[in-house]
Order: sequence, then C-alpha cells, then structure tokens
Amino acid sequence: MAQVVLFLVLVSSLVLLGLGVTSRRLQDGKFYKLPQSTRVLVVGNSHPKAALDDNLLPETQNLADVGESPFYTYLKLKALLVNNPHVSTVYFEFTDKHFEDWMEGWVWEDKHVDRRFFKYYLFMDRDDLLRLARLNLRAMVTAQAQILRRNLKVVAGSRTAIEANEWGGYLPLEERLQPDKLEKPEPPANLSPGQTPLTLLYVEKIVDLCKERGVQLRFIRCPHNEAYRGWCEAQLRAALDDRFPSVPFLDFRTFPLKSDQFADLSHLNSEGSRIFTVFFAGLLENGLNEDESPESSVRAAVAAAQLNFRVVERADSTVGAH
Amino acid sequence: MLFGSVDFAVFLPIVFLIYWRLASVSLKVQNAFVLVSSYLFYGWWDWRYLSLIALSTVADYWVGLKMVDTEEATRRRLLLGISLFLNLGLLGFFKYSNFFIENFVAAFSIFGQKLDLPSLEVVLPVGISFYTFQTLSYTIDVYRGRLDPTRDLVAFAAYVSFFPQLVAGPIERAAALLPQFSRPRIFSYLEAVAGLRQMLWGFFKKVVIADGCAEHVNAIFESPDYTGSTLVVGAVLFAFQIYGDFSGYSDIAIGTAKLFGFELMQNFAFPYFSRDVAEFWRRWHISLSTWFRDYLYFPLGGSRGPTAQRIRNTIVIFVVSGFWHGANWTFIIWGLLNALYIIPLMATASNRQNLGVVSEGRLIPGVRELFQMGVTFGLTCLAWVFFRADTVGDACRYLARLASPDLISTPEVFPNKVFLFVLFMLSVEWVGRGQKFALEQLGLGWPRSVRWGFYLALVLTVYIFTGRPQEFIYFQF
Repeated sequence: MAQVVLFLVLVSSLVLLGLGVTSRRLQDGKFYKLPQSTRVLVVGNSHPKAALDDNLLPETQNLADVGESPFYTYLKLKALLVNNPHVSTVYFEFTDKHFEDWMEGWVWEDKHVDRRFFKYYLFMDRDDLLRLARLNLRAMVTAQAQILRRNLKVVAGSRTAIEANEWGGYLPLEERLQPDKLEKPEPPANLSPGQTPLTLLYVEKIVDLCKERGVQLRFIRCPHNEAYRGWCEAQLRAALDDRFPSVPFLDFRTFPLKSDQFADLSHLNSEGSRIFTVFFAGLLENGLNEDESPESSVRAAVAAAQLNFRVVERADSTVGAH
Repeated sequence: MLFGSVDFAVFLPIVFLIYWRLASVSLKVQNAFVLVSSYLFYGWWDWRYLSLIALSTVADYWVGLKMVDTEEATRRRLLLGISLFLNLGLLGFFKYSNFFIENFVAAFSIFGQKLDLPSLEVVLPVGISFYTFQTLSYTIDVYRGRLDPTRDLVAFAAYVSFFPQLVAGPIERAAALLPQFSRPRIFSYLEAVAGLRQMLWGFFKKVVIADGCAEHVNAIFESPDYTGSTLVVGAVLFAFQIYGDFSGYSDIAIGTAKLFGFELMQNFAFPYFSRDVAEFWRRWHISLSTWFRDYLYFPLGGSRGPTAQRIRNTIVIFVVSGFWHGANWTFIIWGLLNALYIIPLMATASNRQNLGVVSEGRLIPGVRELFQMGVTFGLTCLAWVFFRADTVGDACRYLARLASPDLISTPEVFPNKVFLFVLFMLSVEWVGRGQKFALEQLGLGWPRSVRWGFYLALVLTVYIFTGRPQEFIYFQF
C-alpha cells in the first residue's frame, strides 16, 4: 500500500511541478505580444467577432470570442494592455444582452470554464479565483489537465496566445437569415432582466482597467436585425447613464443591412460584415478614435447610412418594376 | 457519474476506504454499503431513474423466490414471463418506442395514409440495456434450475446495481457474480494493484485512443466531401475509437471491481488480432455475445439441426444483437452484415478453427496470420461504418464514396500522433494478448525504476490528454 501511495505522490508532484514550471514560463509577456502596429482592439463576444473584419481595418485587431463573458474579457485585457503599451483604444461590445440573467452562466458554467479557464487563469487574482471557485470549483479542478496540456504546447511551440488563435478573432459566417426567422421572440416567463451583477462588475473592472492603463474605452453595439429581441433595453440605458456615464456608447444597432446580410438576428454574415467593416473603417479614417463626441458622430453616420440605404432600396425597386 | 470525472476521483477512494473498513463489521453491512454507493453512483446522473433499477431488482427478486416455491411448470413459466415482460418492457419503452412509432408511421405512408402519431419525449436511462440483461440472466437461470434464488435482497440489489459495471458492462451472470456477494471478500494487495494497472490501461485506451480518434472521426463522418482514402482513415479510426472506448471502459470496470475484491468476466480478448470474424465475435463484447448465445441462440436450437436452421439462428442472433445496440436500422444492418460474414464460415465448418491465441509463443506473426488479421479487421471496419453512421443512407453513401477512384490517393486527414498512439496500444496489447488484460504481466519482471517509469509515462499521458470527459459511446445503450 505504501508503494501505491508513494507512486501517487510522485505523480501528483510531477503534475504540480509541470503546472508550476509552465505557468511561470507563460507569465513572460512575450506570449501576449501584439504587432507593434496594433493600436485598436475589438473585444467582446460573438457579435463583434462576426461583425468586424480586422483585415479591412487599419491598426486594429479583433480579439472577440464566442460566448465570452466580460469576466474573461477583463482578464484578456489585463494581459494584453500590460504587454502592449502601444494599444490606445479598446472597443468593447456592450448590449442589452448583458442584462439577461442567464448571461451570468457565461462566467461559471462548465462549458465556459472548460473553454476559457486554461487561457486566462494566470491573470486571475485571488478574488477572481475565489469568485469562480465558489460558483464551479469542480470545473476548475477538471480544467487542470487542460492547463498542463495547453501550457506544454504553447511553451514548446513558443507561439503567442494570439498566434495560437486562442484568444479570439474575426470569424466570417456564411449562413443567411431566413424570412421565416424574422419574428421578434417573446421573453421567457422566468427572465429576470438586470440580474447580472457579476457580468456588470466585470464591465466596471474593464472600465477601471482601461482608465488605469490610459487606454481609451468605447462601448459598441454591432448591427442587429430589427426583429432582434431587445428585452433589456431599459436596463442597458439606465446603466449607461448611471453606472458608466464616462464611457461613450457607439450604437450601430440600426445600421442598415438587408436581412440576408445577417446570419441570424444578431450576427452578421460575411457579406454584412464586409459592408459594416468598410463603414466602420471609414469612421476610423475620419478620426473616430480621436473624436471627443463619438456618440453623436456615430448617430449622424448611421442616420446618413440609413438614408442612403432607403434611397438605394427605392431605386432598386423602381428599376425592378421596370 | 463518469469514470474520468473529478466526481469519480473523489468518490472512489472514499468508497474504497469505507468499504474495507466495513469488512471487519459484517458482510451484510458491507454489501449494503456497496448498494448505497452504487445507487449514489448511478443517481449522480439522474436520481429519478433509480426507481427503474429498484423496480427491476425487487420484481426479479420476488420472481426468483416464487419460482422455487412452486413445482407447476405453468406457474413457473408465468413468473418468468412476468420478469421478461417487465424488463424487456422497460427496455422496449425507453429505448425503442420512438423507433416503432416512426417506422409504423413510415409503413402507413407507403400506402398513402398519413398518420399523425406523436413521438414520445423519453430519455434513455443510462445502462438500461445492461442491467436489464443482467437481472434477466438471474431469473432465467433460476427458472432453468441452474441457480438457487437468493433470499438476501441486499446482496441481490447490490449485484444488480454494482457500480463498476452498472452502466456499460460487462454483463455479469448471476451464477458468477452473485455468490461473490455471499462470501467475505479478503483484501489482496496484489489483486488491488492489478486492478489499478487494469484501470490505468483502460483510461489510456479511453482518453488517449478513443477520445483522440473521436475528433477526427466526427469530422470525417460529418463531411461528405472527403476522398475515398480519407474515408478509409475515418473507418479505421472509428474501429479504434469504439474499441478504445468500450474495452477501455470494461478494463476500468474490471479493475475497479478488483479493488473491492470482486472478479468480473473478461469482456474483450484482443479482438483485432482475430483471424476470422467468428473468432472476432468470440473476443468482442464477450459478455453480450455469450448472453445471446446462452439465452437466445441455444433455445433456438443453436448449432444443432439442419444448416438452414443454423443459418437462421445466426441471423436472428446478430440482428437482435444489432438492435440491442440502438433503435436504428443502421445497427440492424450492422448485425446482419456480421451474420453474413460468419455464415460462409459456418457452412464450411470453419467457424471454430481459430480458438487459441494467435502466434502463441511468438513475437512476430506469420504472413498468413497477418493476412488473416488484416482481412478480418477490414471486414469489421466496413461493418463499423453502419454502426457509426446516422442513417442507412449515410452509410451507403460513405461506402460508395470510399470505393471511388480517389481511394488510391493521399488521405486529406491523417492524424500522425493518434496513429502513433494506436500503434503503441496495439504493440502493448500484442505482447499481452495471451493474458486477461494487456498489462497483467507486462513489466512485472522489470526493475522497479523502469516499471514505475512506464506507469508514470502512461499516467501523465492520460492526464495530459484528459479534457472534459466525453461520455462513453456505450452509455447510449
């Protein structure tokens, strides 16, 4: 029996040693370097991930990731902003969806911990770790095996997290929103709008982090189809006014696109993304990053785009009639 | 609870320590503890389905006792009928009801009649195909007079629900396992260590081989556009995925049982080293194939009688076995294909030619044996395509695409690392093919440092390859 125990102790020690050594190695900033030319980051969840093609945007890198809670975006920014002082602006997608109560699960549910803990654990402080442990200790423990495996791969390959495609990036979607899906869904009976304290806490932490690093933060909302739910719009507006009054909110929700330029009600497909990205690039070229009233500039630009869209649509229907 | 989960890693040592501590209290208390632990293990997934195991257990316990209380053949048959009806009824309802409804509706539509029957929203209870067969073996053996019924409900319930083999086998016969609950278990350090070695090998096959193959198999089977050579790779990888998954689970189950002083039957005897399909079926999922042999094939007449009858019996066995695996025509066709493979062997009386260990006493197989193993493996791979495909149409398209001119081309998918691990697994299993499991004797004669280095490498490889534990394939049965 002593031999078995000794063997188990040996195994555990080797695993802990492996975790310790590789984790220490991965604290080297070189693994989180962005190209020197990158000045702007786009972060958030799948909406900006599908909407903004950073190949068409100057000095911009899109590091949004599917299903990413602000909890993990905050940790990502912690790593990136410390190691990339040349980044001056962050666009973070912040919408009414962040006030739907199920969003809290994006922090601690198994599949989210599984997908993200091993990427960001090094940047968690004691409070972050305790918060997550209280919610899902089992998933954190299960994730240890993933950590060792991934750490060994990254250390051996010496690639940055970005080169390894771990931390998000633009993803073109090819689906097309079908006409039978253009119906505004009803909110579920048990929805508790605004009950997302953990989500909002980490949005606040993102705001504080950017302020501390001297980085300009802008909230954005990517285009949505007009049938998109918008169940918590009132809560979003209240938070923007009361909790985040200093952060500009650039609302592209009503940017005009045809239904078949969406993959679904809130994600652009590659065609819609190309159109929106070109528009966004135009705004950047016109000095959006330096604009002191970006909200009104965006409102005006979106309104102008809507007008153009209506004119073009009318022209198309006239041509079609003939 | 999954074997590869953190929950099981916490559950097992606690149960192990308490179990052996209770050995000095009484056998009855120890059995009761096994029962409680097994119910906790199963109920971890969904406690509501414990009622099904409990129902099956109590009913068959009662049937067993009543059977010996009467000499009347009719009454004994009636009692057996109750057990069969209940167990097969439960299995039929939870597993096959939607299959029958869909096919009933489809049959009617052939005649131009549209039936609007609702499909039932039933969840298949994990392991139902295994524990119902296990408990049926008890009532059938009591009926046949081959087994005395037990009057110890706790021991019987523990036998039915014994957690190492509850959800995916081996399907243990009452005559083999039940008596082990009636006699004291003595802790054997050597047996326990052997159990740990077997568990380690099981985890290696499940985590490294099966899960490693799964990712590529899913990609290949989900896309219709790969070349023929890539589809060959997909079929081969699935053959190793299902072997790694299922035999890995069996090794973990048998190894775990050893920790508690129980001996379970060997379920896989290195089937991919078989020289013909008949030998393959003597080595693959042995607990199920022997169950069907004893409780279906022999009552139908077995190998006695005219050739036509023997062929009929063989087809029935394989079709039923295929159907046992799942409520889909793909499984039935898989079973039928295997029957078609075996029938020529039966017809030429060559189905019992290869009974011993291949290349026994030799490290290198002969050319003829290599050829035989290659052909047998190829035939099973072709049949596995039906097992893996979602529909018969998908399987046929897969095989048609496989047989296209680009069969002779470089595969678009060839996971080198996975194949290296498969080669390693096959090498270890080849060396250990004469034993009950690959690591039974391997390395016992090595110096401790080398032996520990080997086990350490296996453990660390399993650890590194462990992500979120994927469900075992056979859990769907």
